[in-house]
Amino acid sequence: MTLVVNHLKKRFYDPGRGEFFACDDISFEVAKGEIFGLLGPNGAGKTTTLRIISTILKATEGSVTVCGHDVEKEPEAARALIGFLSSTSGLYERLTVTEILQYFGRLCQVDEKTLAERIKRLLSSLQLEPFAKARCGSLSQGTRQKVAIARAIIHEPELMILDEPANGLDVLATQVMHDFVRESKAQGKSIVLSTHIMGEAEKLCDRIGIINSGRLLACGTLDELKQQTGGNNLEEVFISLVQDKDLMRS
Amino acid sequence: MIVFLKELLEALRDFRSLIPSMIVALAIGPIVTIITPRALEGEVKKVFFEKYTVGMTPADKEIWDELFPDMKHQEFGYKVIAPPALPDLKDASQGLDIVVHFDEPRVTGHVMGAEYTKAPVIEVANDNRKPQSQLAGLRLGGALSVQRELLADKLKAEAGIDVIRPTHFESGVLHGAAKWGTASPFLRASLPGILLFMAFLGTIYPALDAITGERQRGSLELLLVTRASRRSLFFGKLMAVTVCAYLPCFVALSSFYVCQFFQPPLAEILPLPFTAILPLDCFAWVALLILPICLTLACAALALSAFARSVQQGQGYFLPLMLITFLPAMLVTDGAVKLNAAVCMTPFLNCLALMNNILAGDVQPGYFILVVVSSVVFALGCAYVVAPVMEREELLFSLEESPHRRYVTGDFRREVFFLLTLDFVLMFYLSQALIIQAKLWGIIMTQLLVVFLPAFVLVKVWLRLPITKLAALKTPRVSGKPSFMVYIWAMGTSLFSVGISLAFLTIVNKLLPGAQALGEKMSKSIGLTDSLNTSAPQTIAFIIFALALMPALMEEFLFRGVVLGLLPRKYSTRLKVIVVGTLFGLFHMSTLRFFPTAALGCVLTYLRLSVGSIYPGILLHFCHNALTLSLSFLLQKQKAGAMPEWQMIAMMITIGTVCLLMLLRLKADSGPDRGIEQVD
Repeated sequence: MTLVVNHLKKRFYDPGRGEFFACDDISFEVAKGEIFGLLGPNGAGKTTTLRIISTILKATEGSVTVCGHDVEKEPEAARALIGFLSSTSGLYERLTVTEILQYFGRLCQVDEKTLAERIKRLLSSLQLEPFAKARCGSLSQGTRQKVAIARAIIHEPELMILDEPANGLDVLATQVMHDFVRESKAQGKSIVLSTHIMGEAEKLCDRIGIINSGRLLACGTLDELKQQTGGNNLEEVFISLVQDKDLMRS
Repeated sequence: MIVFLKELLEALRDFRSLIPSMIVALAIGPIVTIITPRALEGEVKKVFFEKYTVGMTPADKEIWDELFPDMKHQEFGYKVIAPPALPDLKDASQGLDIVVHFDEPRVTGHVMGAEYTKAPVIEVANDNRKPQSQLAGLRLGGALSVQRELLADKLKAEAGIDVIRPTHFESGVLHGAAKWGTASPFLRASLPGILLFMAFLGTIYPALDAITGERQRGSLELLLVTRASRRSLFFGKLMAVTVCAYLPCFVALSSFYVCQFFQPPLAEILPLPFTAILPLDCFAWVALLILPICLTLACAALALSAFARSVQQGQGYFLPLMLITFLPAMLVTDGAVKLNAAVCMTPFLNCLALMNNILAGDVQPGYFILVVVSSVVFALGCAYVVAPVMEREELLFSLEESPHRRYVTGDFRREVFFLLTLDFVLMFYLSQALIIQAKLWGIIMTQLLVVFLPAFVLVKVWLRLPITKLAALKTPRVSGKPSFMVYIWAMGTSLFSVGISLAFLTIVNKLLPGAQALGEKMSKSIGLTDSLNTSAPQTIAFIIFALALMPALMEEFLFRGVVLGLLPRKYSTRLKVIVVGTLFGLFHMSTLRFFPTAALGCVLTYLRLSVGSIYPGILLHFCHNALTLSLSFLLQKQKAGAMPEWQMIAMMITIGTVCLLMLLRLKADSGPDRGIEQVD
């Protein structure tokens, strides 16, 4: 397994709300070449889960291993295998697209020759060639998101973590991103993506985990989820699961 | 290097901060050394050659001519107008710049056959609200001084009478000629401050942008997911910010160097103040020296940036940093700091003190190397501390842990650090001012405002923790039962602490004779000596209240209550005792008293941990203070500055040790650390 998430818990505190679990006993696995989708509304705990997997947050309880490396015990080994796309593009406004890719490639210890080839290939596959020398501050939201994707995978990681990758993309740019995700899967990469868009999860993901209020309500292929809940499509599955949970709570 | 190049490229492309800092750096030399003297020269000429309207009573032109026999009023630039009555002349509507009134007629006489004139009493009235009137007053004062000199010369020549005149000074250099070039006094006084300012100008924005800015943009979390280590990220940023600070500094220094060749020949009346002389070797040494200054400043700025949650918060942190760094610049230019090995290892002060010496032509390569090495060590230490802060969750994602949970785990080091920093700064500034102004009342106010209030606000308002449990405001217990014997042994232990303090001070006084004089001076400055000399019971009671009871209450609340209560629970009893004792010793800000005070702090901390209450500690602290004061009072009656006999000290220590041992036995009964209770 490329990724194993085991009984993950993360406790947060908010002065108004008190203590609560942003991730509450979340467990799932992602196999090599698999696309796993975390589907849930805003504030469900998707980003927190992905941040823990990416080693930038520490779990309160539970464990995460990436290709056998525990993210808490061997964070550097895990980081070498992870490509992380955050929900904010986080680009440097005063650097050009090529400079950003070079910077992150070098930080990930990619040698110069390979880096030059990868940058060329990524610019081409994400249709970024016309913007190669443009500063990121002048790019549109969609183009920025594509640059952020390119930056996240410049070192060709085994596990790609994409937090809301279609955020701010128009239809055409979304299509490019979807093609890119499928292409990565074909190359044997494992992908975890979070989304709140049902269609995207339905179209792209091999397996889906439905998350709400920090808890993983269900996990499986679309057919398994339909069978489990009796829903005809993902939307019905999602609503059914979330309402069941609310009823149980009340 | 990768991070450094990227950060530098970004900073150089940020024209919003780069252009203003470079413009200021380029312009500061010409403005200070060329434009300002030119402008001032014009002003000074105006002062000397402007014609003023002078009202004079009585309106007797002859008096004027006689007062200034060699300078007729017309040539001198005064227009004599017969004014009306004197009081009306002060009214600005009269159109006069100044009014001169001779209040008694001239008296002439003969001394040893020579004629002399007794100078009349002259009243000069000018309007301080008007610069023109003030300048007229200054100029008239100058003219009268010249006239006094002339009269004195005349008296000596004609009557042989020598009047007392101000001593004339001849300036000279005590030591031999400097080996290296010497900068002009103006640059020696101003260059350290100007270069420090330029370094600030170049540092603030890049430092804030490098960590806080990245955090706010969300790019820092992406950096942290790469394989780059935290320290390499920090060092890359540090180098870039250092270069950003260095650039405007170097440009400003160069502009001063270049401007010296274009300085206009200044009028004789203004030869010195703005002369910019900066020899090449001086320039080169300073250009090298600003590198460690920029490194140190960049370190401090990045540290602040790492701790700031937002750019706005970070900007707020820079004001105290400016105050901390400009204070050494003032001390150095004031000549209050002499360069030595200790100064060479003090951040900021070292570079500025060395620059002061270099500008005076006194270059000491050994000190230079020490300054560079200490600056690099400071940077390494900073990187060690600050680099991990970059990935702290609470700063990275504005998360926080509940105060309740933090209390249970006992991790309040950040708040303790903040509280004690605030207390130390307040002790240094506010407390000194209060004590100087209000003496014993100042000490009481210090205890309330500096010691008690910040700690109370921190616990009650900020952290919202149960103050009675945190500060162990409860009855002491031994073996699970209330014990009042603790109070007896605590009182007795004060004999031990006072005896040890006295023994220590006696030894110190024998080894360092100045120490006793210093203590007496301090007592005198707060009015204690005078108060002790009076036998009025009210006065003595007030002294006991101010110097014994208040410190016992407030300091025990702060150290054994709040600070000890907020230390991490994982700390062992021994570590807690050492940490709180040392902080207590440092808090008293006296090198001589550090060891006895720290030892007392350790005993008090141990007592608090043993019996789970601060009350016995308060009693011990009070008895210690009261006993010390009483001894001072009794000995003062015998002889100023007298010390007790060795036999007496030995007896106190013996009795006190017995009581201390009894306290230790109580501890053995009760088990370690039961003093710290948890909130569940």
